[in-house]
Amino acid sequence: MISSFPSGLGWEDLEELCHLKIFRPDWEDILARLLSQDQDAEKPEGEEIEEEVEEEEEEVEEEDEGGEVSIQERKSKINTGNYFWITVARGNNSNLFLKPAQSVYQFIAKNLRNEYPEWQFAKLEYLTLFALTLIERAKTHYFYNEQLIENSLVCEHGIWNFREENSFYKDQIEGEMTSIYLRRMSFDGMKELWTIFQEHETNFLSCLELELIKPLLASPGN
Amino acid sequence: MLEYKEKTLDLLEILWIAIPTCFKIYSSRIEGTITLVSTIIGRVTELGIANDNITMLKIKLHLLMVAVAVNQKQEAETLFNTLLSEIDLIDKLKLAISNEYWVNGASLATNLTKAFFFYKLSRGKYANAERIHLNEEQKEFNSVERILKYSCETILSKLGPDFDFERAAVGILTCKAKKNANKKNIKDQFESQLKNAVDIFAAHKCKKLELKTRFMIAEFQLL
Repeated sequence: MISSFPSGLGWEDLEELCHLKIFRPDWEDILARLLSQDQDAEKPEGEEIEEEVEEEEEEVEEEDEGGEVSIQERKSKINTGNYFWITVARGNNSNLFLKPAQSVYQFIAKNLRNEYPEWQFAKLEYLTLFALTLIERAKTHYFYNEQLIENSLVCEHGIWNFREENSFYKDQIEGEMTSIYLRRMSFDGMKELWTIFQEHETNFLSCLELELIKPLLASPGN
Repeated sequence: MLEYKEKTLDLLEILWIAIPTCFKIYSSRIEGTITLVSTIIGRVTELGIANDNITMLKIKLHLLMVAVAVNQKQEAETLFNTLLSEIDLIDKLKLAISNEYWVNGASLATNLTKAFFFYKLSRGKYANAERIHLNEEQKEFNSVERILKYSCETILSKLGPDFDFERAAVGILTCKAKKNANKKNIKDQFESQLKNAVDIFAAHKCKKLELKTRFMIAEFQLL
């Protein structure tokens, strides 16, 4: 599923996908297991960096006195590095970012699109929520101001209002959307949102690939 | 449970307009956004699905493309030709829509965009505006005030409160066009309309438009 997103996903995206019930609750354990299997088979690059990160995380854990399992502890299960199917890296904001290998993305897009249409559907659904939240955040924080002639989804009037019978509108927008992590984050300026958009730019463009969408239109149902 | 096909089409109806909107906001390459919109229009056509929702998506994409273009300082003649061809395409697409409310909404958006273009053209906001040659009939037809009064206001009379923002936009543009043409006694005519527009823009959290409108009101007070 992660490999359906060509420009990858951040840790918060993965948590959001779990919250939206697209990922199983034990996704972290599965991912950690998959990566450790890879590690056993082939030592990944960036071993030194991993060790540094582990040390840092141990320090954080020591400081954490809370009873619940902290985000740091959960993240520490995932080792950064270049695996044969995915690259796990730590971004500027110390968040983990997982990007699939191009060959794996291509393989899934070409060979598994008919077998797992639900992956593609979940991806479209998540990126729709994500795009709408990016628009809403830019508007709410006044990073972008509606123009007199705007003609885009920035508008919340006239023909730009969502159709109330639209199943996505009914299922998602009025309920789950409020939970999307971008809504909980605070932004000092447009640059932070712009960086998040850039991280997902290729994911958005992959939503235009008709060969991935056509199996969904031919699929009998779920 | 809805089939994947229906659910996917409902998703695309939103996603394929949300993606170019994100690019419009976050990308600095305007040409890139126009190319992206054009690509998506091609993809919608390739889907080969004919229903009101998908046709409306196509109309919105054409409107988005025109809005991106008219808000730039482009070469007037190229922009004029783009505008005319896009409006022509939208008019053809409207014929396939059975929902009259949407048809009126789309007509309003095209006329408002056209009026905005001619207003900016008259203010010298586009390069090489002298290269656009309009005959007398076109000049008459394309007069900003005429488009706003006989097209926009007529359509608005058939539409509900969902279109209050557009009502405010028509009021603002009419006022600007009259002021630009040095028309007299517009203060009394437009004061209440502008105050109403301020409330509408404030309700839609459009701070910049709200401020610009307040500035217009202040200007009238000084006249």
